[in-house]
Amino acid sequence: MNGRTITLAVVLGGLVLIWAGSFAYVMVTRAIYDVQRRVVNASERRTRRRLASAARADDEVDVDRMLRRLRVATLLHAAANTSTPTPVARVFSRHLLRRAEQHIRKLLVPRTGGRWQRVAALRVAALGGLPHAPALLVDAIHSPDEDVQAAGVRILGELGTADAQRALVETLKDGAFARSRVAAQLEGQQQLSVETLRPLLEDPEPVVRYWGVKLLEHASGDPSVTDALLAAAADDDASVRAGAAASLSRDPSDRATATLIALLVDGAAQVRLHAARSIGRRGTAPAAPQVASLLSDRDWWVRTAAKRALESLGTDGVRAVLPHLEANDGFARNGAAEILQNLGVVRALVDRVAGSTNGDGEAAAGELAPILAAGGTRFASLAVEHLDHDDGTRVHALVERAS
Amino acid sequence: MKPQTSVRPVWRRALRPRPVVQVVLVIATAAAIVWWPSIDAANDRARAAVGGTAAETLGWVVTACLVYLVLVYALYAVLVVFAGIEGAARARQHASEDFETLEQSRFTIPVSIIAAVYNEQPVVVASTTSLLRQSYPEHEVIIVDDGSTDGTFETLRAAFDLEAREVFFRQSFETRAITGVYRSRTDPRLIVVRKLNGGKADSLNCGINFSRYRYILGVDGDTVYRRDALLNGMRVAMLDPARVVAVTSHVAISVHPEQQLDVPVGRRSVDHSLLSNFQHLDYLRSFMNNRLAWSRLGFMLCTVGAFHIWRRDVIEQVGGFSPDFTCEDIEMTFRVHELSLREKRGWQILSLADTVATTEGPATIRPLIKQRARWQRVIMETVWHYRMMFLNPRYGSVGLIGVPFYLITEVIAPVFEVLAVLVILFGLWLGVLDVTQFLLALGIMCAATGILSNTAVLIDDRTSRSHRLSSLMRLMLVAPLDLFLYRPLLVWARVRGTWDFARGRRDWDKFERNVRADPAELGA
Repeated sequence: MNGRTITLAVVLGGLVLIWAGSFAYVMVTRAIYDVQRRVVNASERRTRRRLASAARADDEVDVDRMLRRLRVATLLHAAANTSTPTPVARVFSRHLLRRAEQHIRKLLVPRTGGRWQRVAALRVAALGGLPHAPALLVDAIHSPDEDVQAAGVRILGELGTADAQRALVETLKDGAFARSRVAAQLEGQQQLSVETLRPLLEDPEPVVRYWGVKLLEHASGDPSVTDALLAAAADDDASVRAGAAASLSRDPSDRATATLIALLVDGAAQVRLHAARSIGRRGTAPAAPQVASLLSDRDWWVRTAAKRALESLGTDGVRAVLPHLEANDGFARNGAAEILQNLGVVRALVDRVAGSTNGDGEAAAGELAPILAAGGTRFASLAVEHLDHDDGTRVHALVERAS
Repeated sequence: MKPQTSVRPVWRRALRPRPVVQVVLVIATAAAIVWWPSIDAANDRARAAVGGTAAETLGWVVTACLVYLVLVYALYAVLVVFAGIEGAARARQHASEDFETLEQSRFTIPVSIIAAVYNEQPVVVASTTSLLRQSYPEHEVIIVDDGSTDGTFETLRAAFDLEAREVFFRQSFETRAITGVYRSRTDPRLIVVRKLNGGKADSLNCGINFSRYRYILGVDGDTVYRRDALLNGMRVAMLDPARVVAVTSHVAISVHPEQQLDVPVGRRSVDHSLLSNFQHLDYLRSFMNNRLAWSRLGFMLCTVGAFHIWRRDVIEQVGGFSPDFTCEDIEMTFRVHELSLREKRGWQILSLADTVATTEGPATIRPLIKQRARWQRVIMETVWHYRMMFLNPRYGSVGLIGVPFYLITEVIAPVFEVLAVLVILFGLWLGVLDVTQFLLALGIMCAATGILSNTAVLIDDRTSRSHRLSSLMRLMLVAPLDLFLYRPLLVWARVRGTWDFARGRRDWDKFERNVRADPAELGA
């Protein structure tokens, strides 16, 4: 054997060892994971059953005895995992604090390489009721590490206390973390009041006011909310007005209706768009003619929103779009025809014409003619597609005559 | 009762010669036995004539091949380190993400899902159902039927109660003519657009014309998606929508993806076919070892056609998907990088480790080679088109690392692969090949491939825990055989793809759908 052969053999041996090692590592770690997962799942199920049954004084002792069989690291992992339901994670966390508080406290200290352990410890501290946990979460949000920040925001949302809400509002204000994520946590809170959101609504930064206004929708119906939204609808910044228009969708008051109608002619496209959408969602029938006029808006997104809103308005939408069948704007004509098609008007008229005898379908043909003309050739042929050829031809002939 | 499929094991088909081949083999063997002495003598004379210089040349070629091989494995090894770091971070993020809140939040950005389908009849219903079942607050599904001829549309029509509608839309991009638009009566979020055949890029552009939302998810009609696929992708995009303009994620492979629709996490099995296992490993290495590292290092070179989320305005700014290339995904990624880096926009394209879907992989060799030849061709088209980025500091890590990486590992790979085969044959003929060293070298390559496969399996398992332990074992055990049973097919496909590129071919070369069991048989 020469030197090269020996070198190759040594390299091969080394690689085979690495291969076998990596193989064993994957198998063993997965097998351990499966076993631990089964034990954790069983503990979760039993904890849930205990939580569901009437609380007894010795419950915690009972649960402690059950959880003591799990390693601290496994429990910490389970408690920190968001797939573990909050009530169960709370029980796990209390147990962990009773069993290994010093260890958890150590993990809470920021250190290099300990990011995920800190994230896990934060949830355990917060759900387990460690007194200074809220302050730790606020610190976490201002950490330079995005993952720790995300955990801070999420756990504050999970806590849901008034202090936690205020901390989230502050985070939204200073923009320390993605505002949409912070808002998503606030959105899920019970009893989110205008007062809690006040710092956002009065902030000099438009983007902060925007988020404040968007969150107000969550508390719609309260008169103070309506006042705040109407004030926001007159904001100098277009994004804030758009946010107000969107949030007014759940406010059934007349003042909200009048404001939304006024916003339909706002100078900013995004405001008109959200106003149209909100009118559609609320089913504000009196606003249908104004929404229909947006079918010929200069912005494509507004036109599309108007089309959808009119479809949501049903019969009132039908009445509002009829004058637009002969509009100068091609999209407005097409859009009006499409709305009538989607609401089933075209089908009903075609069936009336097709089913008519002795000329009594002429009135229906007269109504159908401008719709088919507005929709174009393909629209017209599609309208009679469900009929047989003879009936289709007859409908077209009647419509032709009527037009 | 376990479902029986009519797909026979690949090795059995591969080893079953056709009658003509059998006859030729018998004649050739007989001829070799009869004329062997004279053939042997002729060989000796030829060896003596070319021996000295040829052996020297051979030595140089072997050195070049070895240097290339070591370079490629070294590159992969470096990438694995970054991929491991990225995979671990993503797995932890996933475990600590608040999916429940996101799933219900009004602040989650709506998405238009666009599926370009062409002759996907067996899978299209499962695929569309999986898209409609996404646990996402607001999304629409636009299926663009690119002129299918196998009853894809009729199947969709029956399954989703489609009704012809006229829809007026803004034409952002020119596409082939539309022949019909249909909306589902059972789920109004579903729109099916029928058009003349124009390719996948054309279909995606058509879907964008119809889409209502500001984010686009491009998908394939032969792929079945997990319920949380969209939420998984969008949660990352929503964290920084100004910078993250595209997100892609891992797609698994199966001969029958529709059977994976409702398999719970941890219970998934890999196919019993070796060919499918090798493809599975290939995908894992590509996604887990490479794409995660590319993503971490800031040069994601290819979003996956089966799952690519894009900010719609970015697609519009770069002019939509280009039908001038064989495939649209990789070219779009390069185009967006090019614009972003040239104009210093700071856009990011990310790859996630989550398995979001299962796509249909070829069950037999011929369609596999067609598919891989197409992939090789599109890589060459793209690298050639964007050659100005090569080692150009203006294009940052994409120009300095990404494009050279593609050039080394993909574009010039066929040259070295063919050279290696020729060297072996020539060396054997000259009698200068040291068989022991040759076998040791082969063993090293097998082990190296096995290690890379194991790291990919490890990263995937730590992220998703989706497969059974027995499946992981099977994958890792077959991995070292890749070099003998799978790699030769890819070498041939790459050579063919390179040749097609040189000829300027642009066909999609779609592989035929795998054979499914008769539903009646399944019922029995």
